[in-house]
Amino acid sequence: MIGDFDARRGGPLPGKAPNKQQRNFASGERGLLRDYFGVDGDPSVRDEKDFTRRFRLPRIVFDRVYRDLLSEPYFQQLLNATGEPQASTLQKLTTALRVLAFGVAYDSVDEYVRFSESAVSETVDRFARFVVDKYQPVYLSKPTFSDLQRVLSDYENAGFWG
Amino acid sequence: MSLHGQYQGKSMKKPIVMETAADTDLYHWHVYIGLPGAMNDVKVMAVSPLFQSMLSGSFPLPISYTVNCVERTLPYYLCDGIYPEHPVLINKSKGDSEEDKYFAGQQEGRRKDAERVYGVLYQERQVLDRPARFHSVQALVEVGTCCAILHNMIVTHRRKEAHARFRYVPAHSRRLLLLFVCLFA
Repeated sequence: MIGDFDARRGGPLPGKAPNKQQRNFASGERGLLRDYFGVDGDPSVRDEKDFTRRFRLPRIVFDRVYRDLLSEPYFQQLLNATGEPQASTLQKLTTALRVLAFGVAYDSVDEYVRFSESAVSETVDRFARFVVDKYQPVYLSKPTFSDLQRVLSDYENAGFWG
Repeated sequence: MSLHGQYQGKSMKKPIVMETAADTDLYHWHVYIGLPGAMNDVKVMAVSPLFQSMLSGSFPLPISYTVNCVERTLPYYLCDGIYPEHPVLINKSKGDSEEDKYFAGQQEGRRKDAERVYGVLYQERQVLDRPARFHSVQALVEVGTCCAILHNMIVTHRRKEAHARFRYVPAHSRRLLLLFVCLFA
């Protein structure tokens, strides 16, 4: 079940492969910022159209999801035992959106986000659960009376009266 | 493995079924996902919460609209052929008369919306179109719902944008604009 996120996947156990030495999350994040957000005062390399194409979300919606994600413990940026920062919220959000938008293999998003395959899998699961929990009451609720009236009038405008 | 046969779809794959009710803007009003792929549309409908609530009479709010000068209060769904006869389901008419043919043409035209729903959703979230890589059906269900919600967020955003673009300009500001032009002409 998706519920048991606590189940350990790999990690430092006897007989397991060690963690990769240089994940270098910062370089991945810098690439992301450079390409889509602009960094060090430079404008972003890609324009607004590319942004919507690659993330499959308009920037306003993207920003909104990003702000809401910042308060989720799993998606916050952590420090590991050696004090190095781990993947940022932006990278985790990008991971989930890329996988959902393009249905790609989990390790193919590695270039930007520097994630291992299992970490991508977990991020996607958690992101889906976050979206469902957070937005379902607003964006997937039952239609109200005025909603139904608007739908009907939409169809009338389209030339279908029933 | 014991559930293997239950999920066996008609094309030798093991899909899960997603049921959607949407409007002409492709806003998903109802998403029900998670039934095994061996079930066809009618069977899905038999257990769907949407149709259950309609049968119990709790869901379609009484809303009045006029068709052919007749006032009706029951909302309806347009659907394709295999659904049974029901007051809220509008099927394609099967008769040969001129009226029936005209109605069938109109209904098919609007029914394209239903085909567009999944066309757009698959294009937007290709994870739905590819073999799943998730560990459980529960994860699949959450990802499917998540995709529908993200799509709804985009639709809402576009609606707002369109609304802003055609926003009504109040009369006095139009007059000001006119005045401005006159002064510099």
